Amino acid sequence: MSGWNVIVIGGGHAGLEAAWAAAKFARTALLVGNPATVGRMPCNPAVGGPGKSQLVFEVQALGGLMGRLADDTAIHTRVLNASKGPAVQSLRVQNERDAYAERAQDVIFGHPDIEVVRGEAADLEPDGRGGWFVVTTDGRRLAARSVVVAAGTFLRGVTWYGRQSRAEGRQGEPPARFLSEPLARAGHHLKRYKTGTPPRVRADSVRFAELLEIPADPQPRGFTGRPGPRAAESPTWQTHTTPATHRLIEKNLHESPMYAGDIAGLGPRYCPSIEDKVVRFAHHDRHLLFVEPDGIQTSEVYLQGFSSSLPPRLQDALVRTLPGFEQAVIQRYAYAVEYDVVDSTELTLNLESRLLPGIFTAGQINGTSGYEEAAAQGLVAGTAAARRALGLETVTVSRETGYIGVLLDDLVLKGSDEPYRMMTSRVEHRLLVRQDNADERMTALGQRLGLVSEDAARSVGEKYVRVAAGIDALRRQRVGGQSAEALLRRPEFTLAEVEALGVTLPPLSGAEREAVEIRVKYAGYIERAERQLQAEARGSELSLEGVDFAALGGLSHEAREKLLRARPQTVGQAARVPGVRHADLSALLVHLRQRRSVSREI
Amino acid sequence: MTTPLGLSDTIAAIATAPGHAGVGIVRVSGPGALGVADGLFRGRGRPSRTRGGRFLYGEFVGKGGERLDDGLCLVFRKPHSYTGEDVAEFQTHGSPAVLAALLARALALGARPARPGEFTLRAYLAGRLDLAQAEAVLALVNAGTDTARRQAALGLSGALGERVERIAAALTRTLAAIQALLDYPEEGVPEEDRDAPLAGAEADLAALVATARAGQVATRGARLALVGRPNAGKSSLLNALLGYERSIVTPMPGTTRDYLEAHLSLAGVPVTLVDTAGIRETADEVEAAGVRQALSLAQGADLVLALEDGSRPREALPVDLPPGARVIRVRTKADLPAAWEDAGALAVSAVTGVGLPELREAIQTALLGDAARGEAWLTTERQADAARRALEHVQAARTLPDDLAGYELEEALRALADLTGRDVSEDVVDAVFRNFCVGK
Repeated sequence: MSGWNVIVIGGGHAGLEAAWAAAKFARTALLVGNPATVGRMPCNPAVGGPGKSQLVFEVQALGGLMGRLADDTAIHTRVLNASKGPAVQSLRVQNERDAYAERAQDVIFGHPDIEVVRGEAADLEPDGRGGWFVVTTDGRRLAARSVVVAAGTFLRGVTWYGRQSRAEGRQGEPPARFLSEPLARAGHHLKRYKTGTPPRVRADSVRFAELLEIPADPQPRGFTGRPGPRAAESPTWQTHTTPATHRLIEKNLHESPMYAGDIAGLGPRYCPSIEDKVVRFAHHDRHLLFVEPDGIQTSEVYLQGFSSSLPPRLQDALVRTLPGFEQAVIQRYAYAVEYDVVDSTELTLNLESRLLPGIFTAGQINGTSGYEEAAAQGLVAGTAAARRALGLETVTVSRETGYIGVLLDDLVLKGSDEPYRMMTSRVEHRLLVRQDNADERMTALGQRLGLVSEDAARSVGEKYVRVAAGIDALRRQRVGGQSAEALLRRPEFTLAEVEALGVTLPPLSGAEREAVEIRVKYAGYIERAERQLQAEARGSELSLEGVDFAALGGLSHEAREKLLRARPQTVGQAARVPGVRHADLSALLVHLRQRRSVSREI
Repeated sequence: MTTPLGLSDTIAAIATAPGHAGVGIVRVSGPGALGVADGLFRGRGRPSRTRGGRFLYGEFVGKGGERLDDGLCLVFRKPHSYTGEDVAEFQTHGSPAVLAALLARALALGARPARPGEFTLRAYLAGRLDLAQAEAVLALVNAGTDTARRQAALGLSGALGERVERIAAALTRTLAAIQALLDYPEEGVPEEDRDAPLAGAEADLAALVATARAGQVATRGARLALVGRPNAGKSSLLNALLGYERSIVTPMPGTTRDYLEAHLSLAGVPVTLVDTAGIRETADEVEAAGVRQALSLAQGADLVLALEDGSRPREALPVDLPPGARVIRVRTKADLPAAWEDAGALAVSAVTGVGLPELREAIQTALLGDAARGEAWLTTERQADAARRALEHVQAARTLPDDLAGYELEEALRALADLTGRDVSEDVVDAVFRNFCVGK
């Protein structure tokens, strides 16, 4: 066999998902330096959380891999924001770190249409017929129609331990030394981003009895509907910083490469290092930290919230200022990593380079942070790469579809100045796009993309027929002069309590019961949100096709340039391009309105 | 290339009011403005070579080089002009013939006539004005009263926008606190009391909404109905307020069978006073018709003055005033010995003028409310509607769980953005089309 339809470079969460999706259509190669690192969790051993769990549910609904890997290896699950309303409820699953990677490797290595190829990519060369050669450092020329670059933090990666730096993609692994070059050569603007991880502490050195224990939800939940066998087995714990921690940090700030000015890369505001927290929130006398186990028989715990780039000798002292960690032994030290990212506004909504057609990028290379954000991009890029390779029509995921749509739209139209993390507050229509209805929302799209089988789609359809029957049953039964539906709408009643009053429902699964409850309780809001979405769509979906931004009067100079660069297809997209002011949008809308009335006259 | 809307065209118009005046101005705006100026102005220096913000003295010339008049040419360069474009203004003597000739010459040199409001539209599209400011400009141009003019000037200064922005900033802070809690449920984000700031925002919005009536009253004027039993002194009071005899004042009950209208200006607001037939139970058919009409007039009025004769034993009005009507009670004939007292009724004498200043004050307060104190008002129905929507969403947010409260606050912020035109929805564009005559 000479060549593949798609080559995916990198075996992290974006690369895995890209290869898995591409292999549904196309012969796929996964190029990695060391297969043993495929599917690793380099940061915390958990999947999900606010904004992120919605992404995983959507990836799952599109036939992706992450939800399944997370469920299979779960040791603790928790629903966050359970009391705050359905739009923001999120599932978080703690995983057995090693098992997650092993499970990922089983799936990928055993896949008949994925070939794992070892090597480091050095260059990308066009083949002159719309395809590409990935040239490896040992001189092989691997041919493919499309390429997905999922390089994570590896592009010219540099790790920092205090003011000592070395060339690494992450702890103990060599960086991708050459792959930035072809991207820059094509005209991509590369930026430097920075992120960090906390120290890992030997579990047998932690006094767990001193820590606040957070139990797993007794009824485990999962992304796939089938939580793994050990999903309720482990707790997590909580500790906090002390005045001694804060004093030690303040005294030694000059040892931090960030504060000494060694690192130029832009770090995330929402996931600050412990140094940042102490400096920026000087009025707080403590910061909460979460202690996450690596597995049931855990050898190591992860100190969520304690990421740092101070030197190792200081980290030892710092960790010992935390309650329960007085004797702690650090097994792997915290570090910061700096790496190249591409300017995501130079991509299409399918994450294809506008400068190198056929080259796709996915994951942290696009300036995001987080496994879930990476997986969602991998799925989109892998699918689009395969569809391009096979000459299939281009399908894009629109912002209104859900969290994946918002992620893509934000990356491409707004871009980022710091590692981008998904949050529920980024999603305007979050009352409509919830984790509980991800399957209903995404299945038709999944079928159009070729990712969801007819059988799977049928079973989702049947699920919502049963949900509708459940709601109908509530409407038809009366309790004390009102319908059971009206009763359930009252905040003080749950579905179980309504049933306890003698109301009977057809047989429903747990997820179906939840869907019935949310739909009834929030019906008024959901309808309102739907009307609003439609009203907005009328304005924002106005096509800009044929509009010549260069010649249109009334635009500011800056907006004209930005619009010419971003090439938005609709008014809604144009509104999200930074530098486009409301006055510019008025000019666009006024122009479109005028054009419409003129064309009606003709 | 020109768009159908012609926003890239160079436009020209006579900028001063029609008729003879000491000075007249022709304004030209757009990419060709300074070229037009070069073609019709002859002075020391060419307009296109002059720096922005300067003026030249010289003469204006016609097609064959003949002198039309002399005057000044003011040069503004983009983006430092009203419209954000290159602008030339020609100031000359205000003869309609001269101005017409200047405009004709500007058109011959490539400008096209500006549509009504088009300079302001361009200023809005250039981001020089927000929508509320642009509406204020149009209101200023059309202002018929002092108060309306003052309000329009306040709107133009951006005072309304600032007032709205202050409320929006408070809502944004609360929304951010809610969102932080939802996106970081475990990080110990302190749960802030959100009711106090929301109650404050609600009060601010309610006060803003309350100015809408005042704004409309100031712009279109107010109707005041005088009602009372026959011979309660309605016509005398009307005349006293007007300062001359408008209705026929006779001591015989039932003289005013029809209604009378009179116009006056109170605190800069144009007020129409309606003197209605005396309300009493009557057998006279003509009078009965008058009574019915009086009630319907009172219903349509912005304010009702309910008059009762203070010199005779008090009798209740035989009919109820329309529910919800704003009413000032007046005890008339205060020059005569008082037959009754009521702290809720203003004592006024049309004969001596006692109590008239207080009555004027009370009318002003009733019509303009807090708005009389000079803060920026809502002046269009569009603005009032947006403010009312924002108020409703904030009220809803106060009682809801976090995710829905966040949703309501986002809606409230969208409504406020609509108000100033920061959020560009189709509604805002509708407003643009309504206000600026940019249609076909």
